[in-house]
Amino acid sequence: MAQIESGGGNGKGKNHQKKMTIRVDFTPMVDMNMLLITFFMLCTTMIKTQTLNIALPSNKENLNTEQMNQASAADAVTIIVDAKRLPNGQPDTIGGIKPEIYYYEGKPAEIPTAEGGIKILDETDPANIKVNMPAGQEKLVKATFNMGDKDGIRSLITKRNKAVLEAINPLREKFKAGELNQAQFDSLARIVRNDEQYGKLTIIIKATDAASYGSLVALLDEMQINQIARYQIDNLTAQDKALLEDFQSRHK
Amino acid sequence: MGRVKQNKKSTFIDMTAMSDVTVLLLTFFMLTSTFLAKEPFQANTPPSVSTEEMPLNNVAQVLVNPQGKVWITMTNDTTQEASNEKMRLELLENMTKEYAQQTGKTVSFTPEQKLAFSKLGSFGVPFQELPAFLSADTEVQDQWIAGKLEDTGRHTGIPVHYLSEAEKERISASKYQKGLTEYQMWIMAISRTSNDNLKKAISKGTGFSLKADQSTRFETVHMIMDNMQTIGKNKFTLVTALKQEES
Repeated sequence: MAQIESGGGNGKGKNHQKKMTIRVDFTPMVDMNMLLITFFMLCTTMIKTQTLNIALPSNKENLNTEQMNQASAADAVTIIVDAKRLPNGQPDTIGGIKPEIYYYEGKPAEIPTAEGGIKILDETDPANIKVNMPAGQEKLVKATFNMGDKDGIRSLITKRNKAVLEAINPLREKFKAGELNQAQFDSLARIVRNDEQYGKLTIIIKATDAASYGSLVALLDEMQINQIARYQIDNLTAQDKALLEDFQSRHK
Repeated sequence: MGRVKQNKKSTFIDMTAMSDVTVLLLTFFMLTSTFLAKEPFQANTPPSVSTEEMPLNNVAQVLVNPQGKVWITMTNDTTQEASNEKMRLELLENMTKEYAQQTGKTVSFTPEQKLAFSKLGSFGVPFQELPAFLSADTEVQDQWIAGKLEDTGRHTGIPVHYLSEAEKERISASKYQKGLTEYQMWIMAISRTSNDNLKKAISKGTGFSLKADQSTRFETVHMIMDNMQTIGKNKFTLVTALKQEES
C-alpha cells in the first residue's frame, strides 16, 4: 500500500530504468496521531453537565411562602437534612460529610402542653424555645438516606404521595412501552401531580449549616422521582433547630 | 553441516491502515470535543436524575468553592450583536456604575484593561483589585485566581458574605437596594445586559446557574442562595451530573 512502483518506462528507451519501489514509512505519522488523540481524549469533556431548576420563594411577594404556610398541617411534611454528628454535637467530617435526615409531619408546635411539648416564647431566640417532649411522642422522626430501606425517606414520600404515583404509573407503563415520548409523559405527569384531587402534599425542605450540598440535591431529586408537585427549600427556623438539638441529645 | 538458510524477510510493517484509523479517530475527537473551561477549582457536582441539559450560551455560571469563594463565568450569544467580548465590555461598564452608586468609590479601567476583561472567561477578584488583575500576565492571573498570591494582598473570589436577618430585610425592603454585597452588584450588572436572550433566560430561570462541589456545606450554598433571593433573583439552576434513575 505504502509503496509506489516507479520506473518501467517503455522498452524502447535507451536509459532502461531499474524498477524500484518507494516505500513511505508511516510509523512517525502514526506516533504523532496517537499523541494528538491522547491529547484530545484527555482534554475533552464527555460528560455533559445537567441542570436542576429551582425556584426559591420570592422575597418581594411573599405569596408563595404564605401559601406554603397555609398548607394545612395534614398536608405538610418538613424534611430536615443534617450531617452525622459526633457525641459532642459537632459534625463528623472524617471521610466527608455523611447525611442524616429527619422529618416531621404537620406543624412542629402542635402539642403545647403545660408539662411538655414545645413552648415558644420568642421564636427568634433559640434559647427561649423549650422542647420537652415526653419520650415516644417526639415530633421528629429519623429516616435514612438509603432509598431502598423501609424507614428510608423514599418510603415516607411514596406513602404520602401514593395517590399521585398510582395515577402516574399507568402513564409510566405506556412510556416504557414506547407509546408516549418523554415530552408527552412529562406533560401528562405534570397535570396529574398538580391535580388537587390527589391531595395537596407539600414538602418543605430544610437543611442545617453542616449538611452537605450533595444531600440537598439528592433530596430535591427524590421530589422529582416521586412526582411531588409542591416542594420548596426553606430556612431552618429556631424552632426546627431546637427540635433537632433535642432529638440529637436524646439519641447519641 | 549446513545451517538451514533462512530467507531474509523484511520486517517492514505497513502503517498506512493504522494511520488511516488514527486520523479518523483524531478527526472525531477534534470535532466532538468541547474543552474543559479553566476553572479555579474542580467541582465534583452532585448527581441528579434531572435530564435538562446545561445551556451552552446565555448563562452566567456562579462557581462556589467550599470556602465560600465565588467566581462568575458569563457566556453570551454567538451572534455579532451580543458576542461575548461586547457583552463583557458592557458588563464591566454596568458594574463600574453599580459599584460607584453603591459604595461611592470609582474604579477606572484603561482601554487595555477593558480589552483584557472582554477576553477573560471567568472572573473573580475584588472589584478594587480588578484593574491590577487585568494588567497582570496570564501566569500571574492564574496564580492570583487560584489564591496563591493571597499573602501579597492579591485576593481571589468576589467578596460575598452571609447576610444577617437585618441586612436581608433592608435589602429587600429598599427600592434602590443599597448596601449590596459585591457579588450582588455583579448579579445586578449581569441582569442589566442588553443581550435579550440572556435577559429572557434570567427571567425564565436558566440564566443563572450555581455550581458547587457536592461536599460543600449547605451553609456556603445557602449564603449564595440568600444573596440571590434578596435581590429578587430567586429562580436559577443548579449544575448537576447525570445519574440514572433507579427503579
